[in-house]
Amino acid sequence: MYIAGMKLNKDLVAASAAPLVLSILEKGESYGYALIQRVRDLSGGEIEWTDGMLYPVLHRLEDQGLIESRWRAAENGRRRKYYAIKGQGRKSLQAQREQWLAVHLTLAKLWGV
Amino acid sequence: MFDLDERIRDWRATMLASMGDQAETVDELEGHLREEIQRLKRAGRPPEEAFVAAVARLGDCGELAAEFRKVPTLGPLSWRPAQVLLAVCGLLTLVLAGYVVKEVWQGKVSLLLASHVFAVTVGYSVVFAVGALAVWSLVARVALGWNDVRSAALRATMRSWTIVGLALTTIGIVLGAVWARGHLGRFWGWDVKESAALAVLAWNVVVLALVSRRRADPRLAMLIGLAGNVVVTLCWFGPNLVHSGLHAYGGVSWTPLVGFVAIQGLLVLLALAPPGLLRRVKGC
Repeated sequence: MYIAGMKLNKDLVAASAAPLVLSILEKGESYGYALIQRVRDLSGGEIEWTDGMLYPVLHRLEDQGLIESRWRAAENGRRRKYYAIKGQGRKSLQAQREQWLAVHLTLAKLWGV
Repeated sequence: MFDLDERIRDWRATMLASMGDQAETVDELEGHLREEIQRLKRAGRPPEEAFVAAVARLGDCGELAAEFRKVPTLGPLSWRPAQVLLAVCGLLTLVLAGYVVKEVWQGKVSLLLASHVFAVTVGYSVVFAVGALAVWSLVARVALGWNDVRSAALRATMRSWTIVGLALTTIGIVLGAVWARGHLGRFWGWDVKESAALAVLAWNVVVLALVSRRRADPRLAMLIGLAGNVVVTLCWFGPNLVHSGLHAYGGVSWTPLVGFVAIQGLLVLLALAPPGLLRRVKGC
């Protein structure tokens, strides 16, 4: 499905950040580092974010009321900020899911895949 | 000899310099950095290589700071608690203005004296408004949790409101001095209430200096707001209890004043509670 070493367009990476984060958080709360690893694993390494750039996305989503955060103690003794999706976030994710699927289906038909 | 902790501290200092008052965000990024370093060390990379690689993955400090600056911030006109207080204070100011205009219209008081009373009353009330915001923030911090966005919103609101309070109090003091010159033959007599007005003025300057400090603990701004409640209460109503000088009117009892100050003291205890405590207790 993906060509090894393919670099995704920056705009595409930016546009997909919010739905990716919301989709992962829909499965359960998580924290920044784990989110990055999950996206990397799911995409087979094709989606590579500059790690730090995830955090403005998380803060923006929190500011929009789609997710919420709380600090908790981590296994390493340090504190870690966990994020969880809110009701409004689930509604937003549903809307984004429909939009992405609409685009995907249209392109799939055009490209005969 | 490579000292990993020292290099992380240097990195943190650089991030704080770039990010300004977002200490909590830098904490989050540092946590990420440390986890990535640990992962790379477990994969066999020496500490120095792991540090360099982890910092590169996290991204350039300047670019990260620029991205965070794009995240919308809340200010005095966009932060909901500030909007509510502004609406309430605006309404009360209109009521006061209406009363003052009526008194002047009916010839009961001169325009100069009425303007002095109006400016000082609103100027002092602004400090109470800042205090109310501080109380809300202390309660919200314990009930809901707190973050850098709210900290920045609180500081920005306190800064802009304090500037308004400072300006109005100054105007009120000047108008009062001009009135005193015309009616008492002197601009200033170090009357208890006149001196207290100077204290409120000085307090506003102190508040501006303290809330402008970046990287300060967010609870500092909240405690400053509480302290402002005490300062204005003592300066506004305290002189009435002295029963001497130009403003010796009232016959106000000490009890409400002491009670109000005591409540501010109790509210300080909220600052000691961990953020989001009530949310965690509910979730248990």
